[in-house]
Amino acid sequence: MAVPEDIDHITVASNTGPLLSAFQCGGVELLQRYVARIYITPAQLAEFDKHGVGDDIEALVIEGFVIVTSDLSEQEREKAEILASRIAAQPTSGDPDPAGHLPEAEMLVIAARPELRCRIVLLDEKAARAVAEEIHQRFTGFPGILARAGLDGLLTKSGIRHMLKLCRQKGTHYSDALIEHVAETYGR
Amino acid sequence: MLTPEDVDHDVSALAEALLEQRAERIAHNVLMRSDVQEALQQLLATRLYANEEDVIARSLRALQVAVVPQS
Repeated sequence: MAVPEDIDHITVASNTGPLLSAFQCGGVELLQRYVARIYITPAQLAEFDKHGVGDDIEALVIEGFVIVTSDLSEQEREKAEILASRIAAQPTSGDPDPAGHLPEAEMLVIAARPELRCRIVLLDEKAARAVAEEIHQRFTGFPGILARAGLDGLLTKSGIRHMLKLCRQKGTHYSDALIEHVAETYGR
Repeated sequence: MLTPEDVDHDVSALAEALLEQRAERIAHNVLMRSDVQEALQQLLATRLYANEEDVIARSLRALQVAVVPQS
């Protein structure tokens, strides 16, 4: 696999979904070609545990690739609650209860901490992405990372197809149309 | 569920973030050089340029015309 040498590594904050997809298809190494470090919130640790990848996340924390931020301040917590309500109110939200959207809302709040210098957030959830757009927070999803890797010659069409289908087999909802589009448009 | 159009957006957003990082690295490395600082100050003092960005952009254009005249 050719490795582009001129690629800069960015700092990101990530929701649970994109990292979970990376674990599901063995794509963590690919993520590391573009990302220097990933910030997650303390509350996300429980979510990773719930999905059975607690040990994997812990290994990345020890490696220094994933960094668990400090707890949210009272002011940040208030902001997160407002964002969670906005996410819940989105037409694409499958859960009208704001509490169910607090993890992604908290992630959006910590991504805005200036000292973290997050260039972008990794976010696959439609309703949260709509709110990220409203607050002018740049975002991308895990398929977007694979697509970029394809453009850089790191992944073939069949490689992309295989990875996204692996994610789907392990529970992530990617449609056939999406898988084919990413593979055919961006694969080498 | 994400759509193909969402992924197209994501590719552009990621490209923008990576370019921003690259621009910051290049600007930092170039501007930290003392010879570059000196050249910038001299050229700015001529009052032919609006600012440092203008010096760099127009100098590159001049270099391009000199080295690759057919461009």
